[in-house]
Amino acid sequence: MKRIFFLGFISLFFTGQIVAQDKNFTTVQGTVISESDGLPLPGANIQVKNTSIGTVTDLNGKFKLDAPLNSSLIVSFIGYNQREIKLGKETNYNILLTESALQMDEVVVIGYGSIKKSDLTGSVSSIKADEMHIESIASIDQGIQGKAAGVVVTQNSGQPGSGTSIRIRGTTSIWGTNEPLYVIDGIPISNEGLTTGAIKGPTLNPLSSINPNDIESIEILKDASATAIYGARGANGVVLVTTKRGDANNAKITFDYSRGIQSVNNKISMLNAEQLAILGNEACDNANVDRRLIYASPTNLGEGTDWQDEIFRPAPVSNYQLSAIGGKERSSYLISVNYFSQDGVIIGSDFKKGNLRLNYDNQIRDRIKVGIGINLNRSVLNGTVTDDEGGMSSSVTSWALEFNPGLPVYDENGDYTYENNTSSPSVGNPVADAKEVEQVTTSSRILSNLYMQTKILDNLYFKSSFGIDAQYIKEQSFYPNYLKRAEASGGQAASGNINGLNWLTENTLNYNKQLNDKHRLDAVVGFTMQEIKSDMLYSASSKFTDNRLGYNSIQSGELKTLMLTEAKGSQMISYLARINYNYNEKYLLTVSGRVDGSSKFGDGNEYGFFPSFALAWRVSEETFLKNIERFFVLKLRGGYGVVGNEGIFPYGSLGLLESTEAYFGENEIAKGSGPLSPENQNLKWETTSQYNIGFDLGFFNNRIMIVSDFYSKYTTDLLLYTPVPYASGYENVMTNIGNMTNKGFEFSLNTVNTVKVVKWNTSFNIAYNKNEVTKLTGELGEGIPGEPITGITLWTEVREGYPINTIFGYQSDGIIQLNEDLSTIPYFSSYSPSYGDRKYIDQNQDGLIDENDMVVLGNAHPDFTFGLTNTVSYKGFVLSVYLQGAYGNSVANFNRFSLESFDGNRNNSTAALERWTPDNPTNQYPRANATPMNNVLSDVQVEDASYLRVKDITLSYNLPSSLISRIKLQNLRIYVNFKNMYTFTDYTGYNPEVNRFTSNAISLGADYGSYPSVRTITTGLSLTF
Amino acid sequence: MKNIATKLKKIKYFSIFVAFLFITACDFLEEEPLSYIMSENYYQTEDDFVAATNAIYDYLSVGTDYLWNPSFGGIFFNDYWVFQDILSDNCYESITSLEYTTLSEFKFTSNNERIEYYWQDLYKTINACNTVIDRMVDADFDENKQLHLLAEARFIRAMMNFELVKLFGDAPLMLNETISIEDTYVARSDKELIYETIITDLQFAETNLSTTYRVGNGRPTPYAATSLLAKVYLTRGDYSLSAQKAKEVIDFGNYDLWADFGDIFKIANMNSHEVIFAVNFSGTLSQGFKPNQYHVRLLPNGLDQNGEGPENGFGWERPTDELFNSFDPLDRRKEITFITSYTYSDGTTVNFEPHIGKFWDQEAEPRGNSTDSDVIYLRYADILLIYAEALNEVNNGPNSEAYNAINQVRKRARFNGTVELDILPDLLGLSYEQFRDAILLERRHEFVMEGQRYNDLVRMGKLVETVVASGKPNATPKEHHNLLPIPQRERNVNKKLTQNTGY
Repeated sequence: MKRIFFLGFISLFFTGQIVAQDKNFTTVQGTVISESDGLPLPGANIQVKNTSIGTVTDLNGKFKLDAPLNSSLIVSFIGYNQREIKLGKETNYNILLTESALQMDEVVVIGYGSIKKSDLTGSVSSIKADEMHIESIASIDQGIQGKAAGVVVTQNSGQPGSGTSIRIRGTTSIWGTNEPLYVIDGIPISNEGLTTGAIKGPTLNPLSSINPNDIESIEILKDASATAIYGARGANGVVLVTTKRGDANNAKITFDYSRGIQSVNNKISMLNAEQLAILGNEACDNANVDRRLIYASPTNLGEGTDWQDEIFRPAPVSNYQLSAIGGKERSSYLISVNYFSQDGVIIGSDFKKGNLRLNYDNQIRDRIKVGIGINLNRSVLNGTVTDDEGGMSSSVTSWALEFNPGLPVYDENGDYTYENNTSSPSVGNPVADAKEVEQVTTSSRILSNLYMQTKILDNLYFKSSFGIDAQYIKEQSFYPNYLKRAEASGGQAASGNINGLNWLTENTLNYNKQLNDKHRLDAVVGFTMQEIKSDMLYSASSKFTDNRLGYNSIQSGELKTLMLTEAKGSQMISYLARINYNYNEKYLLTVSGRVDGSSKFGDGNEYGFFPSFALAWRVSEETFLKNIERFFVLKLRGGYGVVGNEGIFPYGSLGLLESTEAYFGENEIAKGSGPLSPENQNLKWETTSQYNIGFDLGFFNNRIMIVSDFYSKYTTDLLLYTPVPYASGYENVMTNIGNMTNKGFEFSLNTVNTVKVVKWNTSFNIAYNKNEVTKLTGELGEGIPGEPITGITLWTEVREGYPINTIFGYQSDGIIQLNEDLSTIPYFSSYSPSYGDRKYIDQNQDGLIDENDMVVLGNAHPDFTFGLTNTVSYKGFVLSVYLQGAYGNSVANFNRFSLESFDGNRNNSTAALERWTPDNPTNQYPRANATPMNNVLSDVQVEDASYLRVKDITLSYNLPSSLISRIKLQNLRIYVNFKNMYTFTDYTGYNPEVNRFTSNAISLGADYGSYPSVRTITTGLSLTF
Repeated sequence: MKNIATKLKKIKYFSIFVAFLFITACDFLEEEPLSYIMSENYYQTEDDFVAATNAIYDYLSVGTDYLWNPSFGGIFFNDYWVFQDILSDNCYESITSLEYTTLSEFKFTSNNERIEYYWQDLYKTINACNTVIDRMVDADFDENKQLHLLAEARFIRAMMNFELVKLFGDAPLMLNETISIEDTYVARSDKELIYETIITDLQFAETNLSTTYRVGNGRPTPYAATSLLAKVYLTRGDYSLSAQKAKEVIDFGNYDLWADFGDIFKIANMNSHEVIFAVNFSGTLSQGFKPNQYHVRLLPNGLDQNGEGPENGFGWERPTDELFNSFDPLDRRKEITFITSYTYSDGTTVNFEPHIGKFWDQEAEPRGNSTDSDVIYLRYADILLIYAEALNEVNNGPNSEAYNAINQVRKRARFNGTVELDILPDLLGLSYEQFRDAILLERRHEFVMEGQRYNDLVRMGKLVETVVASGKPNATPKEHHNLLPIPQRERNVNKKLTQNTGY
């Protein structure tokens, strides 16, 4: 005892020397060690409880700091259970940290607050930055894909900088938005991509303005009890994005650099020049028309030009990221700079963006904390025309497939060959088009919020924040007059810009209280106001005699085809409240409500109330189970809530006039105002009520963790453009008609397979969703057709009793063979079939094929979506393999109408080699025919687009600290990353994951002239010092 | 104690702050559509009503649909004149569009989109007219001007209802601005009732159209209303009223035939003395894509060479051989109506199948395409032939006035630009039936692609026999084709609508 006292005295003496000013302090030192492998943990946080005193362990896991006598140290490290060490008389501590297998006690953000994961009552998926594989991704939505059960992410196009569609627990709206609400550091942003229409094909992804490297975590609120706090915008789920903040105790600078190379995943096997000529001749013979001169001697034509090779290229992608984190005592900051550059695999397309972020927080008074986050972004997207259709507006990928391989890129004068010389002259030279068409989108965006948080009482905080999202987007396009695309217009230029402003103020009061160990209460009430507005200017002209100035001189065009300005805006006012109550760690209750007022709806219908409640029971906390807690954790959850969707264009409830122009004689313009829409004060929210039940089950100290949820969503008062009698003078009016349901389940499994020297984790998720439109436009029974494409109007239609995005068409029935009687074969009234033509099934057996014979051919929505990640680490090596896929979805592959036209008017895929001839009586492909009938969509073109994709493989190596400490580095990581290495699918197009009509929720599942998907191999390094 | 007081004080300030926020929120949800005028704030001044009336003319001509939308274009943009000639022995379709070929071949169904868009455009225009008419009740400006604007709106409403009743028979009769959509689910009104409102509207227009206010190209005059009344009466079978109204127009004396048939469609002659009412278009003022589609649809494809010849011509509607051969070879109207060759400046000439070239003023607009030419709705030759037809009906045979009227038209056709040829002799000594047939033939030759033929055939009860006799390829007209079908889409939406028999 005396010895100990003596040692204590000595240590005090030494301490006294170091902290000369304060004898109440003592110096403690020690090592933080991982319990599982006994290795030291560098970078672990040591904090003196209830003070700002703290440090970080060095490369050997050692630390040293001065702490007040009788204080406690809080020792924490990501992935390990936090420990509190009461300081005694010792000065040297060996602190063992146990791994928190699946971080049950991590904190998740839930909107207007955060909560321990174990206290959650609703369905929330949390994705941490390191799970997103941000290497070579341009935006956060790409990082979410396959990571959370029930969140279906579809990359719409392979074009760099283009966006994704995200559906959380299915589609809930027809004309309203189906995208989730994105909340970036508390600011709900408008993810409606602002666009003027000045460019064709995919538009800029609004989420690309957020730098993925700045993300701390993404939380996805899925069920109504979680999203009801976002009320009228919660129906499609909510994605909460939290960016990294500074850390006064852990100053570091990180530099990342990566460079990759992208290439087209697959090419479509096409006929060569000779094969096309033979086909062309046969097609003419079969149609009894003269053969074409260009096909006169097929054998001389040989291979010809491979137009896919001419427009595709290997394309580099690189990323530079520099960030600094630090602070001093009461303040902390994060500074992040990023530059990302990606060339497209189609010549003439690329994407570049720069980001700058500053996050700063300061505890300016004991009770007052202020902070600001600023994100500046500039993006430039250089696109080619893809995902467009028909004649002059067709996509370059369609043209590359259709163009005659018998023609060279350049003619003998060195000019571009102008057009296809087969009899389908609307196909232009794809190389000329890809290179010379200019389509530039430039976006500048400021996303910023500042807050002040005041501690009013010990348990009562008031937080007031103001956020702003200001965007300036410029879209410019020019088609020089020598391009086929500009044939009708004589060259055309367009320039459009949009100013968007979204501001928000939020004021919340948070209260939390723990009462006698049994009751814990967290409550929040708040008030928010938000305005979202934009104004647009768009001008276009055509007939250019000089191609030099293009969109920078719209006035040079002879015809001023368009001058348009439009301003619009909407406002919201909301009141919100939520209570989380925890009884004895066993029973959890969440009750929330939000009153939202939106300007978009009619008088008396502006306000909606969105309540929710949820209960959870931690069964394993019951005393009768408590002793086996280490092996078994079970929480049952159930909840119900009502959420809304207000994602429609403003002014739907107002009677508006349109501006008109008529002409009297040759010199009098008569401007006028005619009725555009009738007033409709009954317009209100779409309402979705959702039930959710689920459980969290953990075994063996949560080394096996299962989270599963079942849900039913009932959407009523669907906002629809309902057809009204033309006799009214109007075509459609927006009304609340129609109901839809979504039912499904989600299952995720996380396992820690090994924890010793080799650490192996697996995470798997799978989700199922079934949609049904239960009521549509009242008694009409009429469907709502999707966008027409390649002359086909009814390929998809919203119909009562069917799931949304059902694909309809005819059922093919093989090929008419020579031994059949042509007169008995039911056919379309407009066409007389011959031997070798495709047959269709006469479903109603009326002897005629017509619209009444159309059947369901598939659905664009997958039945199941899934993701599987395996991470293995050994010493400094980490290997992660991530698979992702969808099952049960169909795509209407409209490319096949041109690839398998067999008419000799355009090039075909090698399927044409197996065409029907009297000598090859196949039942798969029809005969060659130069004058075929109109396109008929059948099961031939509707393909199963299920896929399993090796989405990401990352192998990284952290250099040993012993090595890098010599060059003053904290951390050096090198890695190689493979994206989209292989896709298992039966789909015959470029990419089973495709969406031609990105902005139209009811026209999902079309592939026509899309930008192909790419595989990317990236190498990179990350330095921390 | 003091501590609690401080806390309470803080709470008080906080409450005041929150209350402040609530108060500022009151007007916050008011919508202000900056780029659109709200109808509730409109229709007050003279300017408002002039603008509301002007809008009607846009729906007649260009329309406000998005460019490239299949429904782009107003009533007279193309379908008004295309329908009448392809639904007859005059023209056939070369375009591959099923919507048009089925019309040309009398195989159309109630799902035909062209019929649907036409129906839609008629009612959209009617609603714009009704808006002017209904809102005028609360207007407060010069009453004579009010009466004139009302008369303009009622004239065009009558025009629209007339087109509607001719093509569809019984139809929903919309006489008020649509305020509530529920009120527009109405059944078809008897066509006699529609005719009555047409006549009342036109009588109002005849009396109240001003001859001093808003006078000028493209707007109706009192005699336009009188002329249209003559035509309405004729169509309805009120022959003596028709003859009376036609005579009023003839006696007015301000209208006359051009001496040369070729002068009618000259750009310089638009809106002049033969034209009683024309829907005005302007390629010059509209800058692209908004003139009528005469040249785009009718002129031959492929003539655009080295900056010469008509641009953007597709030759979709083409004359039948039977129409082409039905003319006297020297009839001036044959030479003007058809184009069969084109000569470039270097002297090379291209010959082709007959196309309709009468609307193309080659000197004024050598490239065709974007044209200033108007779509004539009523011209003096029409009045003369209405007069002749009505008199023949009234008197059960032609009298001298009837002969005089038709012979004026024939005389003009004899004039080849320099001299009167010895063809198309003045008619004389015909029976009632013979005169009727003569009128029908004269109208056929006079008005190719001017929006007349189908209704002429239907009015005279000769649609089926004439089209069958003409041997128009693939055409299978039936009796029920004397009316078009009510668009299926409209019947799907409004269950009260019955269908015309045969569809």
